[in-house]
Amino acid sequence: MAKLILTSKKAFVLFISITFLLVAQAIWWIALMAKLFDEKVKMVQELGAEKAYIDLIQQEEISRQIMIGMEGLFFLLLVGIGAWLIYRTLVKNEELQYAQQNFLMSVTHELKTPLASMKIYLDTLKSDKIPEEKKMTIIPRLKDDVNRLEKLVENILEAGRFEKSGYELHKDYFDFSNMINSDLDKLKNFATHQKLEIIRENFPENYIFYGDRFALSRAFEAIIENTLKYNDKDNILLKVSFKADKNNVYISISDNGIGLDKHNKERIFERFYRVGEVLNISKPGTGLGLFLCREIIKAHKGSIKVESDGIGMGVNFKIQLKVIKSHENNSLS
Amino acid sequence: MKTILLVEDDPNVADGLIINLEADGYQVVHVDNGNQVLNEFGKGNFDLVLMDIMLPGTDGLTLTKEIRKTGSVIPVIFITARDQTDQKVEGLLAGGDDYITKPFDVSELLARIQGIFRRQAWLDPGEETENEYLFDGRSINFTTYTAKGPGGEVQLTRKECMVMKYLIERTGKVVSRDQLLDAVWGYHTYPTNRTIDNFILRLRKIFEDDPKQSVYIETIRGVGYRFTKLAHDGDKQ
Repeated sequence: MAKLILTSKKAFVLFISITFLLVAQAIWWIALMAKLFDEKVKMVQELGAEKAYIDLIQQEEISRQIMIGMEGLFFLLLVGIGAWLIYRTLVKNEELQYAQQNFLMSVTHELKTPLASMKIYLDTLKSDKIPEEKKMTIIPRLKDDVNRLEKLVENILEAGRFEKSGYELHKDYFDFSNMINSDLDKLKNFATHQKLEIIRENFPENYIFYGDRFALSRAFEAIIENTLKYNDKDNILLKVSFKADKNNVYISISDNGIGLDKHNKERIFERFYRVGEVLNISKPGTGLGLFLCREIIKAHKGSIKVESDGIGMGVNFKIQLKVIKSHENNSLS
Repeated sequence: MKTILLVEDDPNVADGLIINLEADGYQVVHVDNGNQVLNEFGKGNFDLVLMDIMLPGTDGLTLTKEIRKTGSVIPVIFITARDQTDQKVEGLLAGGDDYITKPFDVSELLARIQGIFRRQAWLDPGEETENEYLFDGRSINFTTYTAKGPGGEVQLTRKECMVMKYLIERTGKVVSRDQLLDAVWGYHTYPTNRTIDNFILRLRKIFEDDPKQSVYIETIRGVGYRFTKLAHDGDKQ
Protein backbone atom coordinates (compact mmCIF):
# COMPACT_ATOMS: atom_id res chain seq x y z
CA MET A 1 0.00 0.00 0.00
CA ALA A 2 1.04 3.55 -0.54
CA LYS A 3 3.00 5.40 2.10
CA LEU A 4 0.66 6.93 4.67
CA ILE A 5 0.27 10.65 4.49
CA LEU A 6 -0.41 12.80 7.53
CA THR A 7 -4.18 13.26 7.21
CA SER A 8 -4.72 9.55 6.65
CA LYS A 9 -2.45 8.71 9.55
CA LYS A 10 -4.76 10.68 11.84
CA ALA A 11 -7.81 8.93 10.36
CA PHE A 12 -6.20 5.52 10.83
CA VAL A 13 -5.26 6.27 14.46
CA LEU A 14 -8.78 7.51 15.19
CA PHE A 15 -10.30 4.48 13.50
CA ILE A 16 -8.13 1.99 15.42
CA SER A 17 -8.79 3.81 18.73
CA ILE A 18 -12.57 3.81 18.28
CA THR A 19 -12.65 0.17 17.17
CA PHE A 20 -10.47 -0.80 20.12
CA LEU A 21 -12.71 1.14 22.51
CA LEU A 22 -15.89 -0.50 21.18
CA VAL A 23 -14.46 -4.02 21.37
CA ALA A 24 -13.01 -3.37 24.84
CA GLN A 25 -16.38 -2.05 26.04
CA ALA A 26 -18.18 -5.09 24.65
CA ILE A 27 -15.74 -7.45 26.42
CA TRP A 28 -16.08 -5.48 29.64
CA TRP A 29 -19.84 -5.61 29.36
CA ILE A 30 -19.85 -9.43 28.88
CA ALA A 31 -17.44 -9.86 31.82
CA LEU A 32 -19.67 -7.67 33.98
CA MET A 33 -22.77 -9.70 33.04
CA ALA A 34 -21.01 -12.97 33.96
CA LYS A 35 -20.00 -11.48 37.29
CA LEU A 36 -23.55 -10.28 38.05
CA PHE A 37 -24.85 -13.73 37.21
CA ASP A 38 -22.43 -15.38 39.64
CA GLU A 39 -23.28 -12.84 42.35
CA LYS A 40 -27.02 -13.29 41.98
CA VAL A 41 -26.80 -17.11 42.25
CA LYS A 42 -24.41 -16.75 45.20
CA MET A 43 -26.76 -14.34 46.96
CA VAL A 44 -29.73 -16.67 46.55
CA GLN A 45 -27.61 -19.55 47.89
CA GLU A 46 -26.50 -17.47 50.87
CA LEU A 47 -30.12 -16.59 51.71
CA GLY A 48 -30.67 -20.35 52.14
CA ALA A 49 -33.21 -20.74 49.37
CA GLU A 50 -34.55 -24.11 48.34
CA LYS A 51 -32.45 -26.01 45.77
CA ALA A 52 -35.34 -26.03 43.32
CA TYR A 53 -35.60 -22.25 43.57
CA ILE A 54 -31.85 -21.87 43.12
CA ASP A 55 -32.02 -24.11 40.02
CA LEU A 56 -34.89 -22.04 38.68
CA ILE A 57 -32.95 -18.83 39.21
CA GLN A 58 -29.93 -20.42 37.57
CA GLN A 59 -31.99 -21.52 34.54
CA GLU A 60 -33.54 -18.07 34.22
CA GLU A 61 -30.13 -16.43 34.46
CA ILE A 62 -28.62 -18.76 31.88
CA SER A 63 -31.44 -17.97 29.39
CA ARG A 64 -30.99 -14.27 30.09
CA GLN A 65 -27.24 -14.62 29.65
CA ILE A 66 -27.69 -16.40 26.30
CA MET A 67 -30.07 -13.71 25.12
CA ILE A 68 -27.81 -10.87 26.24
CA GLY A 69 -24.75 -12.74 24.94
CA MET A 70 -26.38 -13.07 21.50
CA GLU A 71 -27.22 -9.38 21.56
CA GLY A 72 -23.62 -8.70 22.47
CA LEU A 73 -22.34 -10.89 19.65
CA PHE A 74 -24.70 -9.19 17.20
CA PHE A 75 -23.39 -5.84 18.41
CA LEU A 76 -19.79 -7.03 17.92
CA LEU A 77 -20.65 -8.31 14.46
CA LEU A 78 -22.10 -4.93 13.52
CA VAL A 79 -19.03 -3.19 14.92
CA GLY A 80 -16.83 -5.61 12.95
CA ILE A 81 -18.67 -5.00 9.67
CA GLY A 82 -18.64 -1.25 10.27
CA ALA A 83 -14.94 -1.32 11.09
CA TRP A 84 -14.13 -3.34 8.00
CA LEU A 85 -16.13 -0.97 5.77
CA ILE A 86 -14.46 2.09 7.28
CA TYR A 87 -11.05 0.46 6.91
CA ARG A 88 -11.72 -0.33 3.25
CA THR A 89 -12.82 3.26 2.61
CA LEU A 90 -9.73 4.62 4.35
CA VAL A 91 -7.40 2.39 2.32
CA LYS A 92 -9.18 3.35 -0.91
CA ASN A 93 -8.95 7.01 0.00
CA GLU A 94 -5.28 6.55 0.80
CA GLU A 95 -4.59 4.92 -2.55
CA LEU A 96 -6.49 7.65 -4.38
CA GLN A 97 -4.54 10.38 -2.61
CA TYR A 98 -1.27 8.64 -3.46
CA ALA A 99 -2.36 8.26 -7.09
CA GLN A 100 -3.33 11.95 -7.20
CA GLN A 101 0.08 12.95 -5.86
CA ASN A 102 1.71 10.81 -8.52
CA PHE A 103 -0.61 12.34 -11.10
CA LEU A 104 0.48 15.82 -10.10
CA MET A 105 4.13 14.85 -10.38
CA SER A 106 3.55 13.12 -13.71
CA VAL A 107 1.61 16.08 -15.11
CA THR A 108 4.30 18.48 -13.93
CA HIS A 109 6.86 16.37 -15.73
CA GLU A 110 4.72 15.90 -18.83
CA LEU A 111 3.87 19.61 -19.08
CA LYS A 112 7.32 20.91 -18.36
CA THR A 113 9.29 18.55 -20.56
CA PRO A 114 7.81 19.68 -23.91
CA LEU A 115 7.85 23.28 -22.62
CA ALA A 116 11.54 22.92 -21.77
CA SER A 117 12.22 21.42 -25.16
CA MET A 118 10.31 24.23 -26.92
CA LYS A 119 12.16 26.88 -24.96
CA ILE A 120 15.51 25.27 -25.78
CA TYR A 121 14.59 25.09 -29.48
CA LEU A 122 13.39 28.70 -29.56
CA ASP A 123 16.64 29.79 -27.89
CA THR A 124 18.47 27.72 -30.49
CA LEU A 125 16.62 29.43 -33.33
CA LYS A 126 17.62 32.81 -31.89
CA SER A 127 21.26 31.83 -31.43
CA ASP A 128 23.93 33.16 -33.80
CA LYS A 129 26.21 30.24 -33.03
CA ILE A 130 23.98 27.58 -34.57
CA PRO A 131 24.23 26.98 -38.35
CA GLU A 132 21.07 27.56 -40.41
CA GLU A 133 20.82 23.95 -41.65
CA LYS A 134 20.77 22.73 -38.06
CA LYS A 135 18.04 25.22 -37.22
CA MET A 136 15.88 23.81 -40.02
CA THR A 137 15.85 20.37 -38.35
CA ILE A 138 14.31 21.94 -35.28
CA ILE A 139 10.94 22.98 -36.75
CA PRO A 140 9.40 19.45 -36.94
CA ARG A 141 10.57 18.77 -33.41
CA LEU A 142 8.93 21.96 -32.17
CA LYS A 143 5.71 20.80 -33.78
CA ASP A 144 6.11 17.43 -32.10
CA ASP A 145 6.35 19.20 -28.73
CA VAL A 146 3.22 21.25 -29.44
CA ASN A 147 1.37 18.02 -30.31
CA ARG A 148 2.50 16.41 -27.07
CA LEU A 149 1.25 19.35 -25.07
CA GLU A 150 -2.02 19.45 -26.97
CA LYS A 151 -2.66 15.78 -26.29
CA LEU A 152 -1.89 16.13 -22.61
CA VAL A 153 -4.20 19.12 -22.22
CA GLU A 154 -6.94 17.25 -24.10
CA ASN A 155 -6.62 14.25 -21.82
CA ILE A 156 -6.79 16.36 -18.67
CA LEU A 157 -9.77 18.34 -19.92
CA GLU A 158 -11.51 15.16 -21.04
CA ALA A 159 -11.01 13.55 -17.63
CA GLY A 160 -12.36 16.72 -15.99
CA ARG A 161 -15.41 16.77 -18.25
CA PHE A 162 -15.99 13.09 -17.58
CA GLU A 163 -15.85 13.67 -13.82
CA LYS A 164 -18.48 16.40 -14.12
CA SER A 165 -21.06 14.88 -16.40
CA GLY A 166 -19.98 11.44 -17.58
CA TYR A 167 -18.95 10.72 -21.12
CA GLU A 168 -21.14 12.42 -23.67
CA LEU A 169 -21.09 10.47 -26.92
CA HIS A 170 -21.79 11.83 -30.38
CA LYS A 171 -22.80 8.67 -32.18
CA ASP A 172 -23.05 8.10 -35.88
CA TYR A 173 -22.22 5.41 -38.43
CA PHE A 174 -18.54 5.24 -39.31
CA ASP A 175 -16.01 2.89 -40.85
CA PHE A 176 -14.51 1.00 -37.91
CA SER A 177 -11.72 -0.63 -39.98
CA ASN A 178 -10.69 2.74 -41.29
CA MET A 179 -10.56 4.16 -37.74
CA ILE A 180 -8.27 1.37 -36.44
CA ASN A 181 -6.09 1.63 -39.54
CA SER A 182 -5.63 5.36 -39.12
CA ASP A 183 -4.83 4.87 -35.40
CA LEU A 184 -2.20 2.31 -36.38
CA ASP A 185 -0.82 4.67 -39.01
CA LYS A 186 -0.27 7.31 -36.33
CA LEU A 187 2.31 4.95 -34.79
CA LYS A 188 4.71 6.16 -37.46
CA ASN A 189 4.79 9.47 -35.57
CA PHE A 190 6.48 7.79 -32.64
CA ALA A 191 10.11 8.64 -33.16
CA THR A 192 11.62 5.34 -32.15
CA HIS A 193 14.70 3.37 -33.00
CA GLN A 194 12.70 0.14 -32.66
CA LYS A 195 11.35 -1.83 -35.60
CA LEU A 196 7.60 -2.20 -35.65
CA GLU A 197 5.68 -5.07 -37.20
CA ILE A 198 1.89 -4.86 -37.21
CA ILE A 199 -0.15 -7.97 -37.96
CA ARG A 200 -3.79 -7.38 -38.83
CA GLU A 201 -5.85 -10.52 -38.36
CA ASN A 202 -9.30 -11.00 -39.92
CA PHE A 203 -9.58 -7.33 -40.72
CA PRO A 204 -12.50 -6.56 -43.03
CA GLU A 205 -12.01 -3.98 -45.80
CA ASN A 206 -14.64 -1.94 -44.11
CA TYR A 207 -16.98 -2.47 -41.21
CA ILE A 208 -19.62 0.11 -40.40
CA PHE A 209 -20.18 0.68 -36.68
CA TYR A 210 -22.58 2.98 -34.87
CA GLY A 211 -20.77 4.91 -32.15
CA ASP A 212 -18.60 7.93 -31.36
CA ARG A 213 -15.72 7.68 -33.81
CA PHE A 214 -13.63 10.37 -32.14
CA ALA A 215 -13.98 8.85 -28.68
CA LEU A 216 -13.36 5.28 -29.83
CA SER A 217 -10.36 6.36 -31.84
CA ARG A 218 -8.97 8.01 -28.71
CA ALA A 219 -9.58 4.80 -26.75
CA PHE A 220 -7.77 2.60 -29.28
CA GLU A 221 -4.96 5.09 -29.60
CA ALA A 222 -4.44 4.91 -25.83
CA ILE A 223 -4.18 1.11 -25.94
CA ILE A 224 -1.86 1.06 -28.95
CA GLU A 225 0.35 3.77 -27.44
CA ASN A 226 0.59 1.82 -24.21
CA THR A 227 1.63 -1.36 -25.95
CA LEU A 228 4.35 0.57 -27.75
CA LYS A 229 5.54 2.56 -24.74
CA TYR A 230 5.99 -0.51 -22.61
CA ASN A 231 8.03 -2.48 -25.08
CA ASP A 232 11.83 -2.40 -24.93
CA LYS A 233 12.44 -5.00 -27.63
CA ASP A 234 14.27 -4.04 -30.81
CA ASN A 235 11.49 -5.63 -32.84
CA ILE A 236 8.06 -4.68 -31.62
CA LEU A 237 5.32 -7.05 -32.65
CA LEU A 238 1.75 -5.78 -32.51
CA LYS A 239 -1.12 -8.06 -33.42
CA VAL A 240 -4.60 -6.62 -33.90
CA SER A 241 -7.43 -9.09 -34.46
CA PHE A 242 -10.99 -8.36 -35.39
CA LYS A 243 -14.13 -10.44 -35.02
CA ALA A 244 -17.77 -9.46 -35.23
CA ASP A 245 -21.09 -11.19 -34.88
CA LYS A 246 -24.62 -9.90 -34.95
CA ASN A 247 -24.47 -8.42 -31.46
CA ASN A 248 -20.84 -7.63 -30.73
CA VAL A 249 -17.51 -6.54 -32.13
CA TYR A 250 -14.43 -8.11 -30.56
CA ILE A 251 -10.98 -6.56 -30.91
CA SER A 252 -7.85 -8.07 -29.49
CA ILE A 253 -4.59 -6.11 -29.35
CA SER A 254 -1.56 -8.10 -28.22
CA ASP A 255 2.16 -7.36 -28.14
CA ASN A 256 5.54 -8.80 -27.21
CA GLY A 257 6.21 -6.05 -24.65
CA ILE A 258 7.26 -6.02 -21.01
CA GLY A 259 3.97 -7.53 -19.78
CA LEU A 260 2.18 -6.96 -16.50
CA ASP A 261 2.19 -8.65 -13.10
CA LYS A 262 -1.08 -9.57 -11.39
CA HIS A 263 -1.22 -6.45 -9.21
CA ASN A 264 -0.76 -4.00 -12.09
CA LYS A 265 -3.08 -5.99 -14.34
CA GLU A 266 -5.92 -5.30 -11.93
CA ARG A 267 -5.16 -1.62 -11.64
CA ILE A 268 -4.05 -0.19 -14.98
CA PHE A 269 -7.53 1.09 -15.85
CA GLU A 270 -7.80 3.10 -12.64
CA ARG A 271 -7.66 6.86 -12.89
CA PHE A 272 -4.14 8.30 -12.33
CA TYR A 273 -2.69 4.82 -11.91
CA ARG A 274 0.75 4.27 -13.39
CA VAL A 275 2.96 1.23 -13.27
CA GLY A 276 6.09 1.76 -11.17
CA GLU A 277 7.39 4.47 -8.86
CA VAL A 278 6.96 7.96 -10.24
CA LEU A 279 10.71 8.79 -10.15
CA ASN A 280 11.47 5.75 -12.25
CA ILE A 281 8.51 5.75 -14.53
CA SER A 282 10.23 5.10 -17.76
CA LYS A 283 7.64 6.43 -20.16
CA PRO A 284 5.69 9.63 -20.44
CA GLY A 285 2.08 9.56 -19.32
CA THR A 286 -0.37 10.75 -16.69
CA GLY A 287 -2.38 7.65 -15.80
CA LEU A 288 -5.42 9.00 -17.65
CA GLY A 289 -5.19 7.32 -21.07
CA LEU A 290 -6.35 3.81 -20.17
CA PHE A 291 -8.82 5.17 -17.63
CA LEU A 292 -10.51 7.26 -20.32
CA CYS A 293 -10.28 4.31 -22.71
CA ARG A 294 -12.24 2.08 -20.33
CA GLU A 295 -14.85 4.79 -19.72
CA ILE A 296 -15.33 5.34 -23.47
CA ILE A 297 -15.77 1.61 -24.05
CA LYS A 298 -18.16 1.35 -21.09
CA ALA A 299 -20.16 4.25 -22.53
CA HIS A 300 -20.50 2.13 -25.69
CA LYS A 301 -21.91 -0.67 -23.53
CA GLY A 302 -18.72 -2.61 -24.04
CA SER A 303 -15.98 -4.03 -21.89
CA ILE A 304 -12.20 -4.15 -21.82
CA LYS A 305 -9.82 -6.43 -19.99
CA VAL A 306 -6.12 -7.06 -20.13
CA GLU A 307 -4.42 -10.41 -20.01
CA SER A 308 -0.74 -11.07 -19.39
CA ASP A 309 1.20 -14.13 -18.33
CA GLY A 310 3.50 -11.90 -16.31
CA ILE A 311 6.56 -9.70 -16.67
CA GLY A 312 8.28 -10.14 -20.01
CA MET A 313 5.34 -12.01 -21.50
CA GLY A 314 3.56 -9.20 -23.36
CA VAL A 315 -0.05 -8.12 -22.92
CA ASN A 316 -3.32 -8.80 -24.66
CA PHE A 317 -6.09 -6.20 -24.49
CA LYS A 318 -9.50 -7.71 -25.21
CA ILE A 319 -12.26 -5.32 -26.13
CA GLN A 320 -15.89 -6.07 -26.73
CA LEU A 321 -18.29 -3.47 -28.12
CA LYS A 322 -22.03 -3.90 -28.37
CA VAL A 323 -23.58 -3.43 -31.81
CA ILE A 324 -26.45 -1.07 -31.08
CA LYS A 325 -27.47 -0.46 -34.68
CA SER A 326 -26.21 -2.92 -37.25
CA HIS A 327 -25.47 -1.83 -40.79
CA GLU A 328 -26.62 -3.81 -43.80
CA ASN A 329 -23.27 -3.49 -45.62
CA ASN A 330 -21.36 -5.38 -42.92
CA SER A 331 -20.30 -8.91 -43.75
CA LEU A 332 -19.82 -10.85 -40.54
CA SER A 333 -16.75 -12.97 -40.01
CA MET B 1 37.79 20.63 -24.79
CA LYS B 2 35.58 19.86 -21.80
CA THR B 3 33.34 16.81 -21.98
CA ILE B 4 29.83 16.79 -20.54
CA LEU B 5 27.83 13.68 -19.75
CA LEU B 6 24.19 14.49 -20.53
CA VAL B 7 21.66 12.22 -18.81
CA GLU B 8 18.23 13.04 -20.27
CA ASP B 9 15.49 10.67 -21.39
CA ASP B 10 13.48 13.09 -23.50
CA PRO B 11 14.91 12.98 -27.05
CA ASN B 12 13.82 16.53 -27.93
CA VAL B 13 15.27 18.14 -24.80
CA ALA B 14 18.47 16.13 -25.25
CA ASP B 15 18.86 17.08 -28.93
CA GLY B 16 18.27 20.75 -28.19
CA LEU B 17 20.85 20.70 -25.41
CA ILE B 18 23.41 18.82 -27.50
CA ILE B 19 23.12 21.39 -30.32
CA ASN B 20 23.68 24.27 -27.90
CA LEU B 21 26.41 22.67 -25.79
CA GLU B 22 28.39 21.66 -28.88
CA ALA B 23 27.98 25.16 -30.31
CA ASP B 24 29.43 26.47 -27.03
CA GLY B 25 32.51 24.30 -27.47
CA TYR B 26 31.73 21.30 -25.29
CA GLN B 27 31.90 17.68 -26.27
CA VAL B 28 28.70 15.87 -25.24
CA VAL B 29 28.06 12.21 -24.47
CA HIS B 30 24.33 11.49 -24.16
CA VAL B 31 22.70 8.69 -22.14
CA ASP B 32 18.89 8.31 -22.07
CA ASN B 33 18.48 5.51 -19.55
CA GLY B 34 19.38 5.58 -15.86
CA ASN B 35 20.66 2.02 -15.98
CA GLN B 36 23.43 2.91 -18.45
CA VAL B 37 24.75 5.99 -16.66
CA LEU B 38 27.24 4.43 -14.23
CA ASN B 39 28.67 2.24 -16.96
CA GLU B 40 29.13 5.24 -19.26
CA PHE B 41 30.48 7.35 -16.41
CA GLY B 42 33.12 4.70 -15.67
CA LYS B 43 34.23 4.67 -19.31
CA GLY B 44 34.69 8.36 -19.94
CA ASN B 45 36.74 11.16 -18.50
CA PHE B 46 34.00 13.69 -17.94
CA ASP B 47 34.25 17.25 -16.64
CA LEU B 48 30.60 17.74 -15.72
CA VAL B 49 27.31 15.83 -15.57
CA LEU B 50 23.93 17.29 -16.57
CA MET B 51 21.48 14.99 -14.84
CA ASP B 52 17.72 14.64 -15.25
CA ILE B 53 15.99 13.17 -12.18
CA MET B 54 12.93 11.32 -13.49
CA LEU B 55 14.48 8.67 -15.68
CA PRO B 56 13.77 5.21 -16.93
CA GLY B 57 15.74 2.75 -14.83
CA THR B 58 17.69 4.26 -11.94
CA ASP B 59 16.65 7.84 -11.05
CA GLY B 60 19.02 10.79 -11.16
CA LEU B 61 19.17 11.27 -7.38
CA THR B 62 20.28 7.67 -6.79
CA LEU B 63 22.76 7.92 -9.66
CA THR B 64 24.35 11.05 -8.20
CA LYS B 65 24.68 9.36 -4.80
CA GLU B 66 26.31 6.38 -6.53
CA ILE B 67 28.72 8.67 -8.38
CA ARG B 68 29.66 10.36 -5.09
CA LYS B 69 30.19 6.96 -3.45
CA THR B 70 32.93 6.24 -5.97
CA GLY B 71 34.78 9.25 -4.50
CA SER B 72 34.20 11.34 -7.63
CA VAL B 73 33.82 15.08 -7.10
CA ILE B 74 32.70 15.79 -10.67
CA PRO B 75 30.24 18.72 -10.79
CA VAL B 76 26.64 17.54 -11.23
CA ILE B 77 23.90 19.93 -12.36
CA PHE B 78 20.34 18.64 -12.08
CA ILE B 79 18.04 19.59 -14.95
CA THR B 80 14.56 18.62 -13.89
CA ALA B 81 10.87 19.48 -13.84
CA ARG B 82 10.78 19.01 -10.05
CA ASP B 83 10.63 22.59 -8.83
CA GLN B 84 9.59 22.39 -5.17
CA THR B 85 12.02 23.69 -2.56
CA ASP B 86 12.22 20.36 -0.75
CA GLN B 87 12.95 18.66 -4.05
CA LYS B 88 15.79 21.10 -4.72
CA VAL B 89 17.21 20.49 -1.25
CA GLU B 90 16.93 16.74 -1.85
CA GLY B 91 18.93 17.14 -5.07
CA LEU B 92 21.65 19.21 -3.49
CA LEU B 93 21.91 16.86 -0.51
CA ALA B 94 22.22 13.93 -2.91
CA GLY B 95 25.46 15.51 -4.10
CA GLY B 96 24.32 17.90 -6.81
CA ASP B 97 26.27 21.12 -7.29
CA ASP B 98 23.49 23.06 -8.92
CA TYR B 99 19.82 22.64 -9.76
CA ILE B 100 18.01 24.14 -12.71
CA THR B 101 14.30 23.61 -13.27
CA LYS B 102 12.60 22.98 -16.60
CA PRO B 103 11.75 24.98 -18.59
CA PHE B 104 14.94 27.08 -18.48
CA ASP B 105 16.80 29.48 -20.75
CA VAL B 106 19.71 27.90 -22.56
CA SER B 107 21.80 30.98 -21.79
CA GLU B 108 21.15 30.47 -18.06
CA LEU B 109 22.25 26.84 -18.22
CA LEU B 110 25.38 27.75 -20.16
CA ALA B 111 26.16 30.50 -17.65
CA ARG B 112 25.76 28.08 -14.75
CA ILE B 113 28.06 25.56 -16.42
CA GLN B 114 30.66 28.28 -16.99
CA GLY B 115 30.22 29.41 -13.39
CA ILE B 116 30.93 25.92 -12.11
CA PHE B 117 34.07 25.62 -14.25
CA ARG B 118 35.18 29.08 -13.12
CA ARG B 119 34.76 28.25 -9.45
CA GLN B 120 36.50 24.95 -9.99
CA ALA B 121 39.45 26.75 -11.56
CA TRP B 122 39.54 29.11 -8.54
CA LEU B 123 39.53 26.19 -6.13
CA ASP B 124 42.17 24.23 -7.97
CA PRO B 125 44.21 26.34 -10.42
CA GLY B 126 46.00 23.17 -11.53
CA GLU B 127 49.45 24.52 -10.85
CA GLU B 128 52.38 22.20 -10.39
CA THR B 129 52.80 23.30 -6.77
CA GLU B 130 50.97 21.52 -3.99
CA ASN B 131 47.67 23.30 -3.39
CA GLU B 132 47.66 22.82 0.37
CA TYR B 133 47.06 25.11 3.34
CA LEU B 134 48.58 24.32 6.73
CA PHE B 135 47.61 25.89 10.05
CA ASP B 136 48.27 24.85 13.65
CA GLY B 137 48.94 21.23 12.78
CA ARG B 138 45.85 21.09 10.61
CA SER B 139 45.77 20.99 6.82
CA ILE B 140 43.46 21.18 3.85
CA ASN B 141 44.35 20.11 0.33
CA PHE B 142 42.36 21.87 -2.39
CA THR B 143 43.47 19.43 -5.08
CA THR B 144 42.71 16.14 -3.38
CA TYR B 145 39.86 17.58 -1.23
CA THR B 146 41.37 16.03 1.88
CA ALA B 147 41.61 17.65 5.30
CA LYS B 148 43.52 16.78 8.44
CA GLY B 149 42.32 17.81 11.87
CA PRO B 150 42.56 16.58 15.46
CA GLY B 151 40.41 13.58 14.53
CA GLY B 152 42.61 12.49 11.62
CA GLU B 153 42.27 12.72 7.85
CA VAL B 154 38.87 13.15 6.20
CA GLN B 155 37.58 13.48 2.66
CA LEU B 156 35.78 16.76 1.97
CA THR B 157 33.19 17.58 -0.67
CA ARG B 158 34.07 20.24 -3.23
CA LYS B 159 31.61 22.67 -1.64
CA GLU B 160 33.21 22.21 1.79
CA CYS B 161 36.61 22.84 0.24
CA MET B 162 35.28 25.97 -1.45
CA VAL B 163 33.78 27.31 1.78
CA MET B 164 37.13 26.79 3.54
CA LYS B 165 39.11 28.32 0.70
CA TYR B 166 36.88 31.41 0.64
CA LEU B 167 37.21 31.86 4.40
CA ILE B 168 40.97 31.22 4.37
CA GLU B 169 41.52 33.75 1.56
CA ARG B 170 39.86 36.29 3.87
CA THR B 171 41.59 35.29 7.10
CA GLY B 172 40.68 37.65 9.92
CA LYS B 173 37.86 39.25 7.94
CA VAL B 174 34.15 38.71 8.47
CA VAL B 175 32.42 36.91 5.59
CA SER B 176 28.64 37.05 5.26
CA ARG B 177 26.52 34.02 4.40
CA ASP B 178 25.41 35.72 1.20
CA GLN B 179 29.03 36.23 0.15
CA LEU B 180 29.69 32.54 0.74
CA LEU B 181 26.59 31.52 -1.20
CA ASP B 182 27.57 33.74 -4.08
CA ALA B 183 31.14 32.46 -4.18
CA VAL B 184 30.47 28.78 -3.61
CA TRP B 185 27.05 28.22 -5.19
CA GLY B 186 27.24 31.13 -7.55
CA TYR B 187 23.71 32.38 -7.12
CA HIS B 188 21.29 33.54 -4.44
CA THR B 189 18.43 31.18 -5.11
CA TYR B 190 19.77 28.38 -2.96
CA PRO B 191 16.87 27.33 -0.68
CA THR B 192 18.22 28.95 2.49
CA ASN B 193 21.45 30.54 3.51
CA ARG B 194 21.13 28.68 6.81
CA THR B 195 22.31 25.67 4.82
CA ILE B 196 25.74 27.27 5.03
CA ASP B 197 25.55 26.72 8.78
CA ASN B 198 25.43 22.96 8.21
CA PHE B 199 28.62 23.12 6.17
CA ILE B 200 30.29 25.18 8.90
CA LEU B 201 29.18 22.66 11.55
CA ARG B 202 30.86 19.83 9.66
CA LEU B 203 34.02 21.86 9.02
CA ARG B 204 34.24 22.70 12.73
CA LYS B 205 33.96 19.01 13.59
CA ILE B 206 36.99 18.43 11.37
CA PHE B 207 39.21 21.33 12.39
CA GLU B 208 38.24 22.33 15.93
CA ASP B 209 39.38 20.61 19.14
CA ASP B 210 35.95 21.37 20.57
CA PRO B 211 33.36 22.24 17.88
CA LYS B 212 31.21 23.99 20.52
CA GLN B 213 34.09 26.28 21.52
CA SER B 214 35.10 27.28 18.04
CA VAL B 215 38.56 28.86 17.68
CA TYR B 216 39.25 28.82 13.94
CA ILE B 217 35.81 29.33 12.40
CA GLU B 218 34.00 31.91 14.52
CA THR B 219 30.36 32.81 14.15
CA ILE B 220 29.80 36.55 13.96
CA ARG B 221 26.25 36.89 15.17
CA GLY B 222 23.86 38.28 12.59
CA VAL B 223 26.55 38.57 9.92
CA GLY B 224 28.39 35.38 9.09
CA TYR B 225 31.75 33.81 9.84
CA ARG B 226 35.42 34.64 10.31
CA PHE B 227 38.40 32.37 9.88
CA THR B 228 41.28 32.97 12.31
CA LYS B 229 44.54 31.11 12.62
CA LEU B 230 46.55 31.08 15.82
CA ALA B 231 50.14 30.22 14.84
CA HIS B 232 51.86 32.07 12.02
CA ASP B 233 55.01 30.03 11.51
CA GLY B 234 55.15 27.32 8.90
CA ASP B 235 51.92 28.31 7.18
CA LYS B 236 51.92 28.10 3.45
CA GLN B 237 49.48 27.95 0.62
